[in-house]
Amino acid sequence: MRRDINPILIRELRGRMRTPRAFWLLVGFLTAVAGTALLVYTASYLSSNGQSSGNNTLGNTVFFTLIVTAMAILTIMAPVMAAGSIAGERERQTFDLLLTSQLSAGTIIFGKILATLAYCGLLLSAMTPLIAMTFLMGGVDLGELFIMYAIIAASVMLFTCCGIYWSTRANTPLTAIGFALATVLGFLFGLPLLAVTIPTIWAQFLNDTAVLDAVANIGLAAHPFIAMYFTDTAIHQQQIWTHVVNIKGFSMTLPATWIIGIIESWIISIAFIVAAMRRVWPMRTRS
Amino acid sequence: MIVFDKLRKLYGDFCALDGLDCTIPKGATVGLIGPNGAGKTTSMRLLTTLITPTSGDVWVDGVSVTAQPHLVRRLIGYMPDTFGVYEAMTAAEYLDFYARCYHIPVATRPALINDLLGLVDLQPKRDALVMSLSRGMAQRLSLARALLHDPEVLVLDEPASGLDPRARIELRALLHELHDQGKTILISSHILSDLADLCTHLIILEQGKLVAYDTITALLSAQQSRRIVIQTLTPTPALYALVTHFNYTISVDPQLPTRYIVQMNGDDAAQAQLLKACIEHNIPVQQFASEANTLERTFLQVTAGLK
Repeated sequence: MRRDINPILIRELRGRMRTPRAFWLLVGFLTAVAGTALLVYTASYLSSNGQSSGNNTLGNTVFFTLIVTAMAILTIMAPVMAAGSIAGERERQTFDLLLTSQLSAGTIIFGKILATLAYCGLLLSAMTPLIAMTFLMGGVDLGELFIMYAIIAASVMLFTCCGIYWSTRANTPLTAIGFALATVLGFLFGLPLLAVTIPTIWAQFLNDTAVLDAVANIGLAAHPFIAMYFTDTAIHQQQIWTHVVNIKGFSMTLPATWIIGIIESWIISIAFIVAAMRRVWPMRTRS
Repeated sequence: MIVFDKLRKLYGDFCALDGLDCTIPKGATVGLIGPNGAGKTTSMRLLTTLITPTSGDVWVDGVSVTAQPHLVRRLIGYMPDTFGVYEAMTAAEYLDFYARCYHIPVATRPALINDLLGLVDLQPKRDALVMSLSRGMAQRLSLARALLHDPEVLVLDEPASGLDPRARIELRALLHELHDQGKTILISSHILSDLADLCTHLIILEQGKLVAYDTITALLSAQQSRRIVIQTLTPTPALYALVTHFNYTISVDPQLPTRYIVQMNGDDAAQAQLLKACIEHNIPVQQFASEANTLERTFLQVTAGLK
């Protein structure tokens, strides 16, 4: 017997793609990404007085701008879309019908997550021609593209799962969106703040904060923009897979920041998924 | 088929359901009545595995709602009091989506959806957007959805609320048909005349407690008092004295000088005795009619004095 695709995924995609909102979101996304890249390209070109930089800097700058802009937009879009999903079912009064069907909590949650990820994937795919143009300018290779897309995918996954979690807690989409955005923005601004302030405070008591600095760097790896910056620098230093940390004279080789970041994002995402599933489960078996 | 076993549900200090204990036989159509806050929706949500009981259990065809909720969901078709709408979805797609949710095989799905749309008389609307359907059509579509996996038990929460008279009659006919197919149906409704027509059994709840549970016939006949309308050709003061002193009379309401409503105990023989007395006293009786016991009156009598 042929196994069905997750019905929630199909319904979400069908419902989302049939509304004009999906088209206008795509247009808005591409306009924002292309517009920002064009501004950066123009500024870079004018600052070099129309001369080719010779080291493919322009291509790399435009590529990095495209990626960071896409990440910034998806940082807002992913949790917003996900937060509206389960809370939206509650508001439409369709949630009870799902719970009394044969669908498991996992199928409902994963259907919602995959639907958001699929739409974000569509947005990223739509900017492929823009990315391809940076290859023509030079300074970008496929490995870098793969790594940046992997960072985006892991972060979008994390923010989507955060949105889904809040969606299971709130009764209205607006409340869920508010909490999800507050969590994501708190993470993006709070994490660097903690990474800076804690070692600084710690330094008041201990002279050597090398270990804490290393831990802070590992913690910051989950931050997509910081991971992108570190990765871009590391790639140009030919350190794609690993980086070396020096603690009190000892050298330690760790996986590259982007690998640590992706692993951290996955772990936090799984925690959000488990918490969301526990909220959705209509009735736990009492044996 | 359904056994409510000392079912109790507390929300904090508030007891929404207090020891509901009764057994519904297979194939019965059971009306669940009671004022708002009596525990009707709580009972239904417990039965449909949407909430967990504080104590007690519900058994559906021998399967425990608390121990094996996933199996119970397979046996139950639930139609809530509100019709949740998805944007940009046709009636056929709506059913197809829920058919997937019930893991109905791909091969059988199109025929099943066709059959169900035919059953609820929505074939012409199969490609209409769900949002565009009238309330009555939406309720019928919701019923079709509840029937997708051919459940043994149908749980219908206020299925006729907000429907116009025609839609109510159509829904009632549909439920009669499902009853004839052997489905066990549990309906909550405030429209008691509909329930009187549909149901074989009745559960009366008040403040979370089971007040009465029996067949409709037994509940109606258990209420001994009856109303007799006596109309005379001309004003007859002697009639008032006669009915007031009649052995079985509870109260007399002289509505007009020629019309009296007599509330009385007793059976058909007592009623015949009153008519005989009227004739023997040469009262010019134009009309002597007993009003049948209605569900409304039974409900009021059963729940009288509980507040």
